[in-house]
Amino acid sequence: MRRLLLALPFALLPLAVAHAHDDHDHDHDHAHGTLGAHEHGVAKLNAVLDGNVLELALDSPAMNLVGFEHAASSDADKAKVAAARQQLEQPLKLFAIAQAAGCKEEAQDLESPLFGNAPEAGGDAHQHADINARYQLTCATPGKLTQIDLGRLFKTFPQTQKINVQLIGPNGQKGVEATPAKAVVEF
Amino acid sequence: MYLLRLALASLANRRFTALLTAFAIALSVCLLLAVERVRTEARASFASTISGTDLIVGARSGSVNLLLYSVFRIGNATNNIRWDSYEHYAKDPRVKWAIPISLGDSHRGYRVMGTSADYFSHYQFGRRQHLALDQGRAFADDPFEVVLGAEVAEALHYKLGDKLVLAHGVAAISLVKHDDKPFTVVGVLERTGTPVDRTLHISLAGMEAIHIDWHNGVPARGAGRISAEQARAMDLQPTAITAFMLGLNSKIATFSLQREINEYRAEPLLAILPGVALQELWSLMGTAEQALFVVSLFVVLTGLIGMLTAILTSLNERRREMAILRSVGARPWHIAGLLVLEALALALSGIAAGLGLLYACIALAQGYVQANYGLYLPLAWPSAHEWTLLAIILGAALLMGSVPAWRAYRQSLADGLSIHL
Repeated sequence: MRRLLLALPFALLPLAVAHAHDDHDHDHDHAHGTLGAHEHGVAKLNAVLDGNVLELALDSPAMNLVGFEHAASSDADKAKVAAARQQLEQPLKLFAIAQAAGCKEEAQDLESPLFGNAPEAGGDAHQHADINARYQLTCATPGKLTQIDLGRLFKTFPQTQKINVQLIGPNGQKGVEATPAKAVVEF
Repeated sequence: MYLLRLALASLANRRFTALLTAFAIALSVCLLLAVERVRTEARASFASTISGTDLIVGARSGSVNLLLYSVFRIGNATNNIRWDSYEHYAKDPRVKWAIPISLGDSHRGYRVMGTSADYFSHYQFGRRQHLALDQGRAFADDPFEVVLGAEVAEALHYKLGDKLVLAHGVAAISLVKHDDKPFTVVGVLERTGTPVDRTLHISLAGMEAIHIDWHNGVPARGAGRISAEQARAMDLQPTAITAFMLGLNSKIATFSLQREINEYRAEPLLAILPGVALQELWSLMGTAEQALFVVSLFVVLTGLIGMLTAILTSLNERRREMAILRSVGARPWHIAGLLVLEALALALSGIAAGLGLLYACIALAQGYVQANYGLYLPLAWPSAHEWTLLAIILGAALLMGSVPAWRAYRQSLADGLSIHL
């Protein structure tokens, strides 16, 4: 009996290994010092509105936006990357920011190994890649900016199933889980 | 109008059953509204525990865990963090103010928190309200001064100038006491309805002083002991704290600073947005809250079905009544209207009595609930949401009243004046 018990961990070992490989949730070392989470289908959006400055930061696995995470080599892949990039370059449309707020883009920063502007870490065949987009806008009448509509983002990138939104607005801090069915996030 | 008078007169004739039915509805309405009110107030008081703080920083664990021990004084920190890390971020140009927090001791079941004087000027709760002193002053240079939360002072009957001894650890009954270094009460805070009321505040120097002669988690004995007087003369700069709160000059910097702190190389730290963590925590409790609401809805349904049963069973006894009404010229729809009005009258009086009962209960329990659970239940008019609930109950009662009405309508057509014996 005792021998059997001793053998138990070894019997279970393949299970643990198989699980580790299935799990896309595990952490990877990216360009930064710490390990960031990477979960396909889930993106992160941080939005902060203070005075008339609006800052948005979208962090998403490349899988959600272009459908693959390796550097684009074929023409079809390159076209997909270019199309995603074009969408991401128009934050006013992508986040359906109210026209009445009179927001203007001040700065934009798109970063991803797929765009060739972030170092691809390691030669691991199992490597994941993220796309990070940062925007800074100034709004003439920030009072009119009451919500962000992620409906278009979900429609443009159908592989995105959930966006964890963190908001800081005039009413304080808020955490919301946006889904295609509940895409409007209020400040 | 005469229909309503008739309905009321008919009800008065059966006043005992009618009263019981109305009372059942009143009780269920009262329960539903009480659950609603406690729910909304609990949520509001929960959300107003902390405000104006942009980031809370502690040892790397989970955001809910960090929020629980730093703000709600529930549970314990997994690790302490270095004083250097606190100073590093307190000096950051983006940071407007920083409040260090040191936890771990208690006094008769109430937690003791070591902090700096900045706590009294920068900590905010509710709608950006600041802490205010009810009596006395904040702790000053002497390390052995304590400022009590309102509830601590009230429950343990402490006044300014009283001396008290802190216990090591957070168990309600502690075997190890810091009895060689008693603290003097110098101030009592105004009631806030937050965990601040249940906290004893001392300076970080005081926290350091009571542990200064401790080695390996036990107090020194004999010659190794350091008296309060000696401790006062020593350098009481702490080397570690439990967590710290940050207020920033511009909210825009929140996310970048959070990222930076989470990636701090000198020490594994975790920075959380208290507002987001609060919502995370509330969503954990949201299920229980929903369950409570559903249960009270079913209680209301039971009350209404009780009313339906009472009216339906009375139909047979009242065939004579109906027949007489028909004989003096009442049409079948008059009979139906009579029964609907009866249901309406029962439901309305039930709702009115339920509201009365609710306000009586709130008036009676208000002080007790506030003192024991930190929940403030206002004697306010029903909110829009509550009115909607009441309207739905009334609508449901009318719908249910239409069942006996329809039957009476059919019967009065079929029965006519003939009485079957």
